[in-house]
Amino acid sequence: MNKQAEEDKRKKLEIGQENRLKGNEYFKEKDYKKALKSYYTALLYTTGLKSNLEFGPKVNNEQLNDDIDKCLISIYNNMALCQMKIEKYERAVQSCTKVLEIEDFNDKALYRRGKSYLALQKFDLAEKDLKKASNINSNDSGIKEALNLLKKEKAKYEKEKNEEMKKLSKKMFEK
Amino acid sequence: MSVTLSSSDNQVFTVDKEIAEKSVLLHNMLEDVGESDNVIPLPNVTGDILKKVIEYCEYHRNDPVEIEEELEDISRSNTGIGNWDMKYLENIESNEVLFDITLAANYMDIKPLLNLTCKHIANMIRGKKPEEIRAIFNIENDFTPEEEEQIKRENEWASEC
Repeated sequence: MNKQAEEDKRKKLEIGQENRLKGNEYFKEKDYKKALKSYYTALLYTTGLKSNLEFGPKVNNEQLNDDIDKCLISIYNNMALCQMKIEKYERAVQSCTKVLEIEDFNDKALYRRGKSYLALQKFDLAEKDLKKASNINSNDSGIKEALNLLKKEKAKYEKEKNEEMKKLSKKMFEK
Repeated sequence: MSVTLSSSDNQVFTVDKEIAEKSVLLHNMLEDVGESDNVIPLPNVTGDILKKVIEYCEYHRNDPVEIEEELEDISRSNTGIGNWDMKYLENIESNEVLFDITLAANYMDIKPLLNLTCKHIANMIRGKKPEEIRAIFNIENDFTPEEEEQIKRENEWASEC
């Protein structure tokens, strides 16, 4: 890759980082919409810098590639957290999936996706992610808590389903 | 409701929201963040390319959003390039521009456009000799004559098909 192109990419990555940090500030202030906006802006600068298409502008600089990946992982993980805060769980799942496409065993993304699946009552998917996360990070209290919550929620859900079925079958036989 | 987009070379485009939302990236952003009168920067695509991308999105503005699995099926088959799409591809003046549109579709996450250009590129390769493909894509031949001979020998079965 020529120097000019590399510098151009570095500059865009830097603007991406700045916006990501701005997003973190808004997040601390609990302004999740503004935080998300900053993260999206960060994304617009950094995504596509590292093209995965063969004929794209090739980045032969390992360090730069790594930095781009790290930045993208951080943006998507932070976005997922914001999206969970504003209860957009499906979108949070998408953000975590983007992280996991870059790094299969990212414990933060697995944990957040697991929790989002749990909120969406997709218990099997939640369990898969949370167990994976706990394999990486077995002492994390958040992961433990989420796994406990999962057990409870699942049991509750199944009980409700059962009751419903009972009622339904009762009705059927009454007639 | 319209949205303003700004390219890497600071060309500004104002388009209807539905058109911008053909890009999954912009769709998600507008949905999560809400309406904004700010300009949305698209620093990884030039104005000339963005114009072509918008042209595609404008024509396809009323297309239903396709389901992921369906799209995959379509991308594997060789049929189904519509008349307008064919003209659109024919009007692309060079391979360089075609590749840039593909990258932009990938960057903005516009799957139908990405599928279209990729299919077109696949058609360009189909049935061509290695030398011809190298010429199209500007690929340098970095095999030694010995290596090339060996590869040809190993893949002899393929050329007989």
